[in-house]
Amino acid sequence: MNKLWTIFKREYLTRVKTKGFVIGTALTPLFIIAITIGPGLLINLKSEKTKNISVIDMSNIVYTELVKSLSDTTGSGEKLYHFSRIDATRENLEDLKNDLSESVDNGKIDGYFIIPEDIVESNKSEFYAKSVSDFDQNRAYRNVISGIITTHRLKDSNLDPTLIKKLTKRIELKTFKIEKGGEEKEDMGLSFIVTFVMVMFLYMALIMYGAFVMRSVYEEKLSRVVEVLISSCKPFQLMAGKVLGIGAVGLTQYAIWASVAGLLTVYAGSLVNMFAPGAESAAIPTIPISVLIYFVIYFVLGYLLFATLYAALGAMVNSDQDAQQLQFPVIMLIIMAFFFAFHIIRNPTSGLSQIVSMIPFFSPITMFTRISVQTPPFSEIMLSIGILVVTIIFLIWLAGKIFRVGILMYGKRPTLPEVFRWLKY
Amino acid sequence: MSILTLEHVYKSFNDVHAVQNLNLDLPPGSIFGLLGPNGAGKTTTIRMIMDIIIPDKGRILLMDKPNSQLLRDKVGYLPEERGLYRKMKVSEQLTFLAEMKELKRSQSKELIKYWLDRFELSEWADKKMEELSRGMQQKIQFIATIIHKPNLIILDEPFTGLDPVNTELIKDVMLEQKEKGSTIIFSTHLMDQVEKLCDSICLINEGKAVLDGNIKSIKKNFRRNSLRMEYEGDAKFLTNLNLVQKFKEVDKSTEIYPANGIKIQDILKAALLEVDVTKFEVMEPSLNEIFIETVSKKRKEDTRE
Repeated sequence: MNKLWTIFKREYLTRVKTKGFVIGTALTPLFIIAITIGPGLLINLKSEKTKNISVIDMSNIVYTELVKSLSDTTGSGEKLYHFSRIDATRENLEDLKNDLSESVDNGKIDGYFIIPEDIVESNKSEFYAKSVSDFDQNRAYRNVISGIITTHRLKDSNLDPTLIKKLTKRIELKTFKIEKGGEEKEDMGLSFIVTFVMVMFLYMALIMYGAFVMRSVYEEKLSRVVEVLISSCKPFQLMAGKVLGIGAVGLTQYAIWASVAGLLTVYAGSLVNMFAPGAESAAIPTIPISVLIYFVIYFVLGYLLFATLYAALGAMVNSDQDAQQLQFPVIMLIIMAFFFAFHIIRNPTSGLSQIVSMIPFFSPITMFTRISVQTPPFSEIMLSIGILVVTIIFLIWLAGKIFRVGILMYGKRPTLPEVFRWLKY
Repeated sequence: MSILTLEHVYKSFNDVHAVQNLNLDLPPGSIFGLLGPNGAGKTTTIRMIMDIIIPDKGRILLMDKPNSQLLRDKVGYLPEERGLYRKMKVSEQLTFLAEMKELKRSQSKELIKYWLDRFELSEWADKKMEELSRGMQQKIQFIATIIHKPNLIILDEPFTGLDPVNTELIKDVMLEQKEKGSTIIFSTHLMDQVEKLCDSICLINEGKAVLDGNIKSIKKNFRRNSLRMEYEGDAKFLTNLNLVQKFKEVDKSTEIYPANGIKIQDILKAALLEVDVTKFEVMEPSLNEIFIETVSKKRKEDTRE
């Protein structure tokens, strides 16, 4: 066992020390942080500069209400909009427009509104500025002016605007997810996203770290280091040391990411506040502990299953092209599991969902998806884990045999009958 | 006690008989040469000793015990095709390989320093393997082979790719290890290395042992010695003499092979009657000759069949 540990240590340390690992591990959380608090920061950044806006209000309805409604402040607490009213008559309107356009052009003001006399009937108003491509801003202006005119119309028709508002209020539909044990939890439609993200992470881990194992095995084989190693230890120790060492690298990376994500859920709000007070952050939903535990279980079991498979394949490889070709069927298995996951998210209880969550090559992804969407009976989970463990033990035995012979076999790629013959050694 | 014993070992790949009925017995504290032309089965034999490939038939014993993993740490192995981690630093690499032989870090640290010094590689200790020249890499691999003070050292073509200075260095270390009680088995097709280093040899050709044993007795049994003679006068007498099997001119002298049952002294007597002998030397056959003659004799027999 001592030698297994030596191999494990080398595999783990040389990988963790590479630039690729450090950069990959560091950049991913930065990316997560960026998409979590980034939008909040950006929204706030826009409103830093005060805007001077002139209003030609020929209807005499809009100006006062407009000033009242657009009272947003900047980050430093100053008023965002400075309005100035300009009186106009039909005769000097064109001249005034020219003057104001000139002011906009040389930066004295940022823009101007023209509210026509007959706005209530014509439903038309105009806004001029150097840039009018900010949809958010345009919508805000339109909503404010619409609101003012609607209120005015209601009053004109002797209707009480507050009453109307009350009567036409939209009905909210909150969605709740029923957790195990009948607990109810408010779910903002994020359960889909959480499941999706976690399944995505599982899928990435199986493909990525599995391929690492395969690569590590055949690189040692092609560089002939393996002959020196096999003269010092049993092939099985070599295989196990590699699979576990790279698995530990994967766990380390995921643990780092998970802690960053965990910290974010707790501190995201205050982080955003620190950088940009008053901004909103995208809410990160919390994940139930039981789902996290199942994530780790299926991560470890799924990794062991595929890493063993990949190790056996790596031992059969004699060139880079071989590696590509041999890898393909395994990757197909993982991709299929991923497709089944989409089916399961929508139909967690269908017959197909139940079947694929028992098949060991799919269950790390499919059963986990079911647990995350709608937790199946405990007995079913245990059955899937049991099948998975038995399959892994069988595969380790099988891969050990293939590895033992294949790792020292050079020349052409072995055919399937040849591989079967290896099992007899 | 024997360090290594091979009993009736056979191995074939598909229909090629790589090794047939090979028997070896190595006493401790000797250097053993495994000779043979390319494709004779030297590497196959070594790989079977290392348990890398499994014999079809026969038995291999290490230190009188069946080949087992437990004895691995007492064996050092330099494979024919060198292999080290290209991206690993020299010192880390040696530490790792020493640890694979159950050598503790505290012990290996000193030993690595000693050997790197000895092979003039100290300043490369923190360089990655891929930055080293092939000769340097080979020296590193050699260090990895002997660092754990193995009882049995197995070297597959240890001198290929080395310059004369480094070849001497490796030879010195091999002799030194033998003095310390290690047994060394190495394969080569460079005969002059063998004559100077080996106590005994096994010459294999097409998977079969054609010659083995102590070098001196091999030479004695191979054939009678030849003689080399310098003389003044007409050499025609040689062609008429039924004492001589064949002769050839080498530089200014003539090399003479006596016919069956004829003593070298008889030829000298006959020569003295005919010519003026200025120099007379008894030659023992070189391993190189033995090698070439044995291998080519076998080939001739094969073509006759």
